[in-house]
Amino acid sequence: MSNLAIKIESLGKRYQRGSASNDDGSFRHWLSKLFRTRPGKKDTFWALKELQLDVPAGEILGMVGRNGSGKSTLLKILSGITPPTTGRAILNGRVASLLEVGTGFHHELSGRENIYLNGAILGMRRAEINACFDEIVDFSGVGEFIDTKVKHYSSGMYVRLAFSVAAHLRTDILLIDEVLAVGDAEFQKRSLGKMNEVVRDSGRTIVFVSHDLPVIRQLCTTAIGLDSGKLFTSGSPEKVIGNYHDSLLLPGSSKIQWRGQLANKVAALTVNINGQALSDVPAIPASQTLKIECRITHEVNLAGKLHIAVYRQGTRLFTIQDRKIFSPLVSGDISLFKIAAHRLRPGNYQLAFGGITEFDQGRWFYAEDVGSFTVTADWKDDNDRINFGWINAS
Amino acid sequence: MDHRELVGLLAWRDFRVRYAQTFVGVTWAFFNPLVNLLILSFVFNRVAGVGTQGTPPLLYAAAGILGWTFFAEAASRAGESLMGNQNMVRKIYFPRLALPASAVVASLPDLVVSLLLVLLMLLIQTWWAPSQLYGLIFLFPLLILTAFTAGTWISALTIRFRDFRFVVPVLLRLGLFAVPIAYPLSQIPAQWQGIYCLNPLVGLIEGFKWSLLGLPAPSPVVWLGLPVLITLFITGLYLFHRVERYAADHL
Repeated sequence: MSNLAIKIESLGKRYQRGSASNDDGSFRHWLSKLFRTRPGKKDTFWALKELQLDVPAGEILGMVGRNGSGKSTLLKILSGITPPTTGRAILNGRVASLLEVGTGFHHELSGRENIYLNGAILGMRRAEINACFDEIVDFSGVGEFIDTKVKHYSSGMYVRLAFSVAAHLRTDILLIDEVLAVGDAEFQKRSLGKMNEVVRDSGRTIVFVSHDLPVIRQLCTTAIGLDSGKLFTSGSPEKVIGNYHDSLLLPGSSKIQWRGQLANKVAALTVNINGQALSDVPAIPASQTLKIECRITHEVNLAGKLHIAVYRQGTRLFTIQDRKIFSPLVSGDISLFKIAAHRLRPGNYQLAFGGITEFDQGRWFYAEDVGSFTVTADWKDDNDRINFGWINAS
Repeated sequence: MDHRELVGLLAWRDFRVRYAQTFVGVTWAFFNPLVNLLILSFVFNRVAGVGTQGTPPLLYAAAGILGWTFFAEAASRAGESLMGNQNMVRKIYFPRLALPASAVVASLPDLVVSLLLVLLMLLIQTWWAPSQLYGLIFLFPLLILTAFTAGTWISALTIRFRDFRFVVPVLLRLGLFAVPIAYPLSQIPAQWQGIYCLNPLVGLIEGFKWSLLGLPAPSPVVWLGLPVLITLFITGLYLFHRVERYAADHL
């Protein structure tokens, strides 16, 4: 395969743990390390380990994984910011990266000046920037403010301009960390369209990190999932997202981030929708009823209530309790939550799960993102008139 | 890939930002060296009564301090450049050497303005145009190279050892007295001159005084600084290259 854009061979990156507290980068620390006769046990961890991956040119590669799974480290290595500890990554062509919005922008300079500066930092010549200057400005929608100092920009304008510069660069490979989440919906849509266009028209390759799974599903031609620095799934976005969901919900896994005093008491739960694992239910027709089962796997010697909460785009829509009065939480007990799907607008929803104990004890646990589901659009106008958003939990 | 544009734009950014807000900012740039000049001239020429090779003391010190001020400013800015731009270093790949290089370039306008000021002093004081001004053609590139070399060393060491940044101002303050700004090289005992001249700045400062004041050529022993400079330049680049790879991890 000659037209590989990216070839990654047994790539690994090791970091020193707790380097912030221990190794303060001082000369004294270095000296003490130098004269220590037997080096102490090194506390290191692998942010990436034995990564093997080929990305053909012209693909949009989506990358999913929990926080700390190594996504950003991989992007940093690919963009050349930090070298790998083992292995290597070969990139064919010029690379531009947008790992954070507006790095390289200077507040005291105008939008125009920042376009040239940022372009140069990303490796473009003045003539190249001149050639697409108008396009950059048009796309960013900054318009008449182009000669205003960017410190007076709204954060939206800032993001738009930064993305616009990176997207218009004539580079072969574009690396984008989760930066688009900052813009408004309209701009996100245009950005995704732009990325599509860029790949289709010029055969560029994009590596794209996002927690917004529908976007990955919609935009990417291929995807990978990272977990603890290792590649655990790759292939079609659909498959990767499915596997990613599964990995979040593995029984006994600690992958769901529990919060609260009771967090350790509820190490696991199973969530299924209509008797199936979440990943097998890509979409629920609005005519169906959603049944969500949650099971406590550890015994909690307290009386309490369990609840699920449904989120849409980060906004909590509603919460359903499983019982009216506090009663003992027993291992193995299953709480069933039912929602008629037609009461939800078509779209993607995220689930959270939690519990509280009696108020005088005031203890709780809660975890977001325990699962997600999609309601499809077989949805009638009638629903609007008949239902006023009431949800009956039973 | 040609990185001159990047260096130019970064330098222009630094320069714009430094003087964007204030006219006073421009004045400040010359206030510090002016105070240094007065102190040095007072201490060495007035109090200690050191001779100035037949030129007016203030003018003598001004010719001497010109190169030193640029060196101190450019080297310390270059030394801070990676720390100061750590957001960029952590999030974008670009040749890191562009940062110290641009910091040196951004200090050039100050050098040009102070040169004009010194020439103005010359005109007012003596009414003669120095005939050895052509020497500046060699002296400026060497001065810039010296500042850049120091910048690579300082920035590389600062990344590796954070506390180094506290050492730099002390060294620079010492340097103000350790290079022959307000006193001639001949003040140094003959047997120590060889060691003294290992400092590339000694030859440079002597050279500036020779060129600007029309003094007799300094003793050839000042050339000792040149091989030292070249060695430091090469090792500095090597060190910088070693450190820059991991700069994003260390910052």
